[in-house]
Amino acid sequence: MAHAVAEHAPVSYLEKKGILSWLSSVDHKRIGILYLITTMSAFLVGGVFALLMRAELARPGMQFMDPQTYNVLMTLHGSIMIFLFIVPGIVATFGNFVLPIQIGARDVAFPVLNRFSFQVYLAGLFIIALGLANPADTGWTFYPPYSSTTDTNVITLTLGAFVLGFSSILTGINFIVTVHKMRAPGMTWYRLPLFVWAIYSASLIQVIATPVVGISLILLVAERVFGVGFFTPALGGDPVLFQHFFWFYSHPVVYIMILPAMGVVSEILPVFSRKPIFGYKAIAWSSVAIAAVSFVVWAHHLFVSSLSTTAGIVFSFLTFTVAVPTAIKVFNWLATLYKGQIELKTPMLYSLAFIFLFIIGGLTGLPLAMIGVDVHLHDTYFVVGHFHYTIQGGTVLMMIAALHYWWPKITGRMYNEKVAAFMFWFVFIGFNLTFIPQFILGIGGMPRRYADYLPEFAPLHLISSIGAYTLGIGYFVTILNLLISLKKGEKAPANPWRANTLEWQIESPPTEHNFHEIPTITSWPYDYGQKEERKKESL
Amino acid sequence: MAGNGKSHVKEMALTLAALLILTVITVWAAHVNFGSLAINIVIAVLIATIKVSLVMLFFMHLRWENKLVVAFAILAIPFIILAIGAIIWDTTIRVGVEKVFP
Amino acid sequence: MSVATAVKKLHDGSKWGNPPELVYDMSRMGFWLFLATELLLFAVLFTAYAVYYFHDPAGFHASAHELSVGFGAANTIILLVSSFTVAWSIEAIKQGNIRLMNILLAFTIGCGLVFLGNKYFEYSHKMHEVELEAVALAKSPALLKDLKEQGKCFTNTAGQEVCRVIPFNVANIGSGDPLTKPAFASMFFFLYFFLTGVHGLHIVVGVALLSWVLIKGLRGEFHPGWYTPVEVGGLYWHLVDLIWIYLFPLLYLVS
Repeated sequence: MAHAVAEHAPVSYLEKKGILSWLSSVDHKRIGILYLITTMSAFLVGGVFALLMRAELARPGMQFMDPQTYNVLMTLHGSIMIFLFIVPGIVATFGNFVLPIQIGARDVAFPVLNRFSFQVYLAGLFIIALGLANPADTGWTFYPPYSSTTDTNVITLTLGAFVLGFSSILTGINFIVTVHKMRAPGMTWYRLPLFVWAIYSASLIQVIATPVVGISLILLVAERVFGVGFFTPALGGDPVLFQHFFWFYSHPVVYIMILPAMGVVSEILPVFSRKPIFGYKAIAWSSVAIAAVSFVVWAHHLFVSSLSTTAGIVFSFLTFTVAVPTAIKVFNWLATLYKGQIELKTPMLYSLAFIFLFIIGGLTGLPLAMIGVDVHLHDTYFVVGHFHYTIQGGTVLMMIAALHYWWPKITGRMYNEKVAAFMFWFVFIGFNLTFIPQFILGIGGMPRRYADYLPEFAPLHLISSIGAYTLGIGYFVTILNLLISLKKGEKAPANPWRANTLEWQIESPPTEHNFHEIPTITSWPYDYGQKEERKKESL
Repeated sequence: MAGNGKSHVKEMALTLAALLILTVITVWAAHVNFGSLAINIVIAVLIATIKVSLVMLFFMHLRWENKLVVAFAILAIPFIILAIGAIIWDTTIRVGVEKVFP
Repeated sequence: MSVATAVKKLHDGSKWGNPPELVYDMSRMGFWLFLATELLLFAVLFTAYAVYYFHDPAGFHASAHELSVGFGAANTIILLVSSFTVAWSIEAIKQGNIRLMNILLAFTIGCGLVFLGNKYFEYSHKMHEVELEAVALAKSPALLKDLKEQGKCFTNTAGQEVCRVIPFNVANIGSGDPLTKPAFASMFFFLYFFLTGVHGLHIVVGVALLSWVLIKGLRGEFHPGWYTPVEVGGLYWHLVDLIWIYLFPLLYLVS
């Protein structure tokens, strides 16, 4: 609904200064930035923990820390990266900033609720921080019975994760309603940018899956507080039940992470190959299909946890089906690139790397879905490699790509392209150096979560550690480069990439109410290349 | 705003009456011996489901709602059936069906 | 005082440039999505209930025998009636009857408080010693052995072996000895307290929410063109009713 906003000189949304004006703002752009700052800080902290672990693992034996410290670092790396960084990651940052503009709205459906979900996120972060005096050592999965017997602060970590889940639910509800009800006139479903489809699908998963893990974590807290053996076999409990509940959420949650990344790829590829996206409807509906299928595969995490064999066979088969919508997306992206005028700008480099890495990540998932092979590979470094290829090679890389792609819009400044493109190679090479050895280690039988290992694994672990530090340097300088551009960068034009989506048709940085006048949409946003030329000629 | 004009108080009063009668039936059915307690529980859950449908349709206005709101209202149901169904299915196999339904 | 200031300005319900019809639509959609998450949350607890029922059906029946069907049925009727009155209050405001809406909302809140009062009596009863069939404790063998040594188990007039035990022994929280000094005598009682506790928490939130709506109602903020908070508050109240409709037979009537 178009509504007149008091007419005075349009001001950038960044105009008001002072920390209070930020925290009290209900502007979706400002909330997106607040999320960006907190999630990226969490990313750096979680990354440092990973580097500390890799330092310890560079050589066999214990050099810098005792095994308990290692367990704590492993838990914190997992929990911080999952709950504080990657789940809110693209959805809460770029979803908040870009989605309302892309559908032609002035804000999300419930702006105050949006601010509230950020406050809830901060509360969750605070609760997790409270537990750092004696941090948990259970791994981010909190498997009982260990999690109900360890002396460490499991309660704060699980409560924190519960509160963060609440924030995630509220964000999801907000986006779903926004997409349904706030679209500009003429913005039909098939004219929506694919990023919106992806965020919409991810929001659906957030709303449906999160309450399940929330209450399970509360049950775990109750188990510890009251000394009930709800999940502890020694006291008559059923530990497999916890795993069922936990993975009912935690498997779909990886699609909350990856779907928005796929959405970003679908935005960047057509812009930098100057071609319309290939197979729009296939990409759009495969997002929804992935969201739906993600709910019927969770038990593949329980193959070696005394899941019944019948259930195992069914879930093994269902897991294979995830490959279908995923492959549909990959083929469509490749077809988009075919015969395009490809410009290798930083966002494009990351997107191409995404496709390459994600194919490896996806294909290594298939052996893990086969029961027979999984019995051998379960809880080895092969799983670690697979997970990082999909989530780091997928989501984190696209988070960085999205940062570069939308940076001119968000900040009004251009980043240094040369440094960014150069650091991309650090990230790409470092990433493969880190995780390819882990596949080989896993097949060789190296178990995950161990602080020490047998001497025959030493060379590959060393390569992996060298890779991790290359990767660390890559990320660090990349982010530094972006921060420097805040001061030194050139002023960004409104549409530096010649993109067609709505956010590029307004000022950089946008004004407080995004649009001076709500636009009326007449076509989809992917008319690049030939059609573009034809339009120009006809003018 | 939507729903102006016609009042639904009469339908709602009838709903309340139906719910109270069903509650009486639930309590009565719990004391009847059907041969196995499992049957009693299944009957109780079925009656509860009828009651819940009545509450959702009339008290919560789903009968008069637009399609989109109805879609979101029933969104959770397949996932609830999935979670309860799959986990119970797996548990009965793990624990042994004969122990569950003696 | 001029006449203009004496005329009360009606809240038109528009928010952030969105007209009231849109806010009404979006609020219902968003709130139903939220209710979907609540339903899933309780679905997990019901699954847990079913799984532990399958692990120990006999113990569940014996434990459920201890619960008072009278109390449960009374609470069921209270919730059903209050659900009706809150639905009626929405009909009242649609017709512009603000007075009736306020009365019905106040009545609903009253029902919520009576429900919580009943719950309090039930809870405190279960924090004291009760007579329980020994089979209810079959999954807590150490506790049963302990009780037998203390001479708290005997055969009653019906010929059943029963024990005097505290279903929820608050003193045992943090005892560090969950085998012989468990906080909950059996899994059934943990589930009973957890399920009704989470449900009770929702009642408390519902009472708070409806009180907030009632205060707004008393201030005269609602009229047939704007009653979204009443509608949303009502939806939340129906949710606690929905959950209780399942809880009542599963907890009280499985004996």
